[in-house]
Amino acid sequence: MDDERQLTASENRVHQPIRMHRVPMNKTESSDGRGNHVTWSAEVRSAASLLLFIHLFAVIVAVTTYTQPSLLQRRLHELCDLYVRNLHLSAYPVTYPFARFHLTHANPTDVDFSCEMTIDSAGPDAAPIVIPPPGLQPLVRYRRYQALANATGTLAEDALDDGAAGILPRAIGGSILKRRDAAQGEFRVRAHYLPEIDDMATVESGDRAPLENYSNTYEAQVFVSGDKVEILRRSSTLEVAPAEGNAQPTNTPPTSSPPNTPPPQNR
Amino acid sequence: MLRNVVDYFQRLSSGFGQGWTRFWFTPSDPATLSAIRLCTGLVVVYLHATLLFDLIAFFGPNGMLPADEIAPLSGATFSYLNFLSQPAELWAVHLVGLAVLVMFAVGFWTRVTTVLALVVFLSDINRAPMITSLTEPIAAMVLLYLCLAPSGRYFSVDAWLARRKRPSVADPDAANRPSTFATIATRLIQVHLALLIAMMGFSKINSEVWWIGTGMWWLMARPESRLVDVTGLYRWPKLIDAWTHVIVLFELVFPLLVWVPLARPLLLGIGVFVWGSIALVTGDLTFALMMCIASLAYVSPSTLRACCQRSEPVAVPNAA
Repeated sequence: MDDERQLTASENRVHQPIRMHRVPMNKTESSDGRGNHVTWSAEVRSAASLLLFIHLFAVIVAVTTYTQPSLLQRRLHELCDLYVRNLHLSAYPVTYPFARFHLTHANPTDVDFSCEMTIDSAGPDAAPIVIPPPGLQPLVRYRRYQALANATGTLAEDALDDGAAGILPRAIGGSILKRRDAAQGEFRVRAHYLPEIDDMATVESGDRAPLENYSNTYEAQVFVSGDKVEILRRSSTLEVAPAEGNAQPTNTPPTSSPPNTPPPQNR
Repeated sequence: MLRNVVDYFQRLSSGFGQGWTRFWFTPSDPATLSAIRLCTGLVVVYLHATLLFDLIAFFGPNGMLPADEIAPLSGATFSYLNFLSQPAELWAVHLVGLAVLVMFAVGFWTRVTTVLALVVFLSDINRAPMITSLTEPIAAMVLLYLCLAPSGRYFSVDAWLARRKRPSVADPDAANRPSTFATIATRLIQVHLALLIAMMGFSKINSEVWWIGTGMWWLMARPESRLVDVTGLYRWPKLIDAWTHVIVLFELVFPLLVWVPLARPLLLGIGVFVWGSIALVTGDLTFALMMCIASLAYVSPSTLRACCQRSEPVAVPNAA
């Protein structure tokens, strides 16, 4: 019973104002000035405090860099980059925009995307392969595919960075084609735009348009030749965009056109 | 005048030092951390186990996420999965990882398996951050801090084994010995969580939709993500406004008032509602669960053990 009372008193210190401790101090124990009992020597506490300062500094930099970082914050983030990114403490800049709700910060532009792949050799009536596959269970699996589609769509929407926009479509499209032994197919990313709250009244009156506001944000032809995957993006201005193999990041192996690559078409 | 200024800074320095020592280094009981370990363990086991279904589809040969192709998006992060692509290798390593996470959850060789569990979980995340959700950053943060503490002292196989060996334990009072590492881990979870929630609030007030009260609408209107369809609430826009404002207010107030013992139970109760409601409309149940689990760090061990009367403290040989 005494043991239990003593334990209860000590455990409450972290959560409540500190109380007096009756345990006699040994040679490494010291008082913090209020009669509270600490067991670490001053030297150990100093070293631990330094580590705590460094870690908390990195955490604060990582957390506060989430939205609209200043130049200073970016530089500081670069300083802590290896540490915070490997421990997944940071949402900036690689994880974002993948984890768009990392801090549950919703925007009207944070819409859900889906990816569709139509295999050319499957015929015109074949149903496209959709990501996320509908009805996937358990739910967390569906959410992973949804996150993948959202990452693909978010990057694909960024017209300024064509190289990054094509990374996931190339990987996903190439994977689907290879697994079905197909040579080429069409890859689309569709955004499901959200209805305004004021538009909802029309839904009840039979006009489903606000709920079915889909738009293709990315379309590309994917080709597979051996192990190589080539992707040709269709421009939103109905002109052919350059092959993304020319605009890819330097650490991605260069791709070359397969021998039977058809000439790009205007659509 | 100058002397007063000097005195002030001396008192400030002394007071800060004492407060810092009291805050971080007063030993405490790891019962709360043990409960957090158990709950977090179950969540990470669930996340890791469900990845098994799609392991080959994502990371296997001809998988959707080849390590070399998505490297520019993943950043320079470590994951042992980056070096594997053959199905047999992936399955073997993933099942070993699952075993580690189960051992961590049940509290077997806890000091070792906690560190290994962190490596396994971070490897899953770092291999393909684009398939992660809101849950992973919170779970990774909690796992990181649990590595510091003797979180296997309660609710664990270690505790059960130690109870069986009790007569041979040299120091029977070890079970009741408060741990400084437990305090540091608890404080780190508390501070980190408060920072995250503060930034959730700040990022929301930086956004127009959360100012004008429609933030929750944009969450609930996403048809592919939500758990239940509550868009019928459009008929009561004031309710959506209130819901939005309550969440923003909570996220701004929580990091300040959670340190006040009298306000803490109220805030933790509201937190369950806030995270639960966000899970309802975003469909991310594990996120809500992890926020509630991490919030346990603000619950005192005595309160927790009052709720679990049958759990007795027992000696653990490797406890800090």
